[in-house]
Amino acid sequence: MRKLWLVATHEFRRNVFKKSFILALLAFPLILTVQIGFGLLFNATGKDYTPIGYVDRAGVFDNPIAVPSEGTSRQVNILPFADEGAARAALDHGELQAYYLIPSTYLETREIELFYYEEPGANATSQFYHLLLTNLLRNQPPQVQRFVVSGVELSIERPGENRQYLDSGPTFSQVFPLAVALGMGFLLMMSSGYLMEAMVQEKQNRTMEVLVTSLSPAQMVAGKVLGISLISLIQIVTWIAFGYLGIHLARDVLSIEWFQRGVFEWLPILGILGIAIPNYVLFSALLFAIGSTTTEPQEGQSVTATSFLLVMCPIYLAIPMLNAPHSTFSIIMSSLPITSVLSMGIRNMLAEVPGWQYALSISIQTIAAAGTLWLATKSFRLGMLRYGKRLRLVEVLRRATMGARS
Amino acid sequence: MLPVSVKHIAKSFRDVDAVVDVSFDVHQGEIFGLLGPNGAGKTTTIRIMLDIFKADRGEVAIFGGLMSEDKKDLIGYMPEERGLYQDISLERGLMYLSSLKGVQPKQASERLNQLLERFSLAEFRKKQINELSKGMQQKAQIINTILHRPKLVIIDEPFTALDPINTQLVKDLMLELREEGVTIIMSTHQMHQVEALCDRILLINRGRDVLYGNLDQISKQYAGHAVLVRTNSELPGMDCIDSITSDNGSHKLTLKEDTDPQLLLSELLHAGVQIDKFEIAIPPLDEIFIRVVEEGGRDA
Repeated sequence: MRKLWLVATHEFRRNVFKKSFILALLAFPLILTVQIGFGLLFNATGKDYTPIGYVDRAGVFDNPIAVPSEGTSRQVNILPFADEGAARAALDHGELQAYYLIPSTYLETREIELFYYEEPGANATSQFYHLLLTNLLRNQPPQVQRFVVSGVELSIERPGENRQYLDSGPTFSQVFPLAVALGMGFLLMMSSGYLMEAMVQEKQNRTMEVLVTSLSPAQMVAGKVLGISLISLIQIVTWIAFGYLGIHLARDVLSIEWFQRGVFEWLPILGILGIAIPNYVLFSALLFAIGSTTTEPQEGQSVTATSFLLVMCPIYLAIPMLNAPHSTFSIIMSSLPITSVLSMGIRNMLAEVPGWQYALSISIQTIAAAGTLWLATKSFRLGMLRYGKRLRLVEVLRRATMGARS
Repeated sequence: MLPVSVKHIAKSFRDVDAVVDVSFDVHQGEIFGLLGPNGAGKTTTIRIMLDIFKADRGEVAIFGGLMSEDKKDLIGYMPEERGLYQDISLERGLMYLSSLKGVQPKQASERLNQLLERFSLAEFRKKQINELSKGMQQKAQIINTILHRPKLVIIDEPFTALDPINTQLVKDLMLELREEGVTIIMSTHQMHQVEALCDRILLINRGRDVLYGNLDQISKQYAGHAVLVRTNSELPGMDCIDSITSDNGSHKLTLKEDTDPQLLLSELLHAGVQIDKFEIAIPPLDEIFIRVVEEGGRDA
């Protein structure tokens, strides 16, 4: 056990202080930050929160009523002025970005004048028109006012579920599990590469020979997988911290409406993390086994690339899963090792996955991870003993089961 | 209990027979030379001994039985070329590898300091291995091999890239280890080092053991029928002498088959030849090596 821990801490220290690791650690949140930043920048362009005024000669705003608002996004103050002179003076002093003059003939002509020095923000004019419409419809029920002001919002609900899907797109809480699954998939592919890289280097520089004369294959395989898993834990914790900060910033500080819509669900997040961790061990052990049985580094790399395709294959099969998130196919995909992480994220977009399916998937992943770890140990031993000879999976399994029986 | 006993091992890789039939024993506290031309099967034999490879047939006993995890801590192995982490500091790499041999950090640190000082590497302890010269890397590998005070040292080409001073340093260290009762198996092509250090040798050629035993006895076995005579006098013509050649200030007298060297000596003295030196001509190991390998080649 002591040697296993020594190998694990060595692998951890060896990789965690590498520039490439630190870059990879920060790359994902950095890319997200840049993307969100661009989005915010794009969103902020053309907005101006300086008050806007109006002079009402038509009496539209006598006893004004407010727009029935659902959001908490930042609003522009709309100020009434008794005469145009006062409005003009406020505009000249920069207290207003613009003011409207509603003539006494407005109800007949439907014409309105806007005065400004620089074109006002689209948010301000839009907000004023919503207020104007609401006040013109003051005698109508609030639902009618909302319908006219905001337009139709179509909501779809699957039978037997309490999830709603708006035609304006999925809510943040619906998308977030998929984002977590994608992050885990990315992590799976990236960090397991460290193991393969370490394995190839140790084989090439003969350190492997010194290592196998110091410890058992089981100690070496388990130690390396544990070390790399500790690294992934660092990544997960860092990304969660960045994610939490980002969400807090977007929802509570910047008040971005999309982040505020829908109820945040923890079960899918915890479920996906629970599936991802044994999957990570499984994938690392699998790559270790591949590295130990192949005779050429290029051969190992091509098999690794194929494994990455397996991780990403739920993306290609997303349509049938989105069409029928509770179908047998979807359940199998979210239970199978390697495909389960992304499949679960995709299903979560449109369906509430029952807790028992998370439990089933986590159990399958854990058993598969333990089995792959055992197989990796056997194939590593066999690969070393039969150095230079190609190993087939059937042979590894046959020898391993023979060894287990003896 | 023999530290190493190898019986009729064989190993092939695809269509290549790396080791065909090799047997030998290594005794406690001796320096054993494992010799052979390139591709003879020396490294494969070592790897089989260390349980890195499994022999296709034959048996290997380490300290009286099969290799075990406990026995691994008693062995120090230095593969030919590298064998150390290139991208971490010398000190960290050596401390890590010694910890895998079960050495406590405090003990490892003390011994490492001594060895780094002895090998003039103390000032480079924080350098990465790949920043060191080849000779320094070789010394670092030797330190790694003996840092955990093994009972059995298996060392492949220990003198590669070493200058004469460091070569002597390593030789002195090996002799010291032998004095302490450590068994050393050394694989090398440097025959003069084998002559200087080894008690017994095994010569492998084309995967087979072709010469095995005590180095002195082997040398005498290959001495042939010749004597070296140093004299200022002119040598008389004698029927028992087949030919005379000059050899480094001496005369090498090749004798006819039935001639006794003692009889030749008495006849030379009787003939009034002033003899400064008279000895049986022992061929250097290089010569024995070449002869055995060439004969083996012809036999094949």
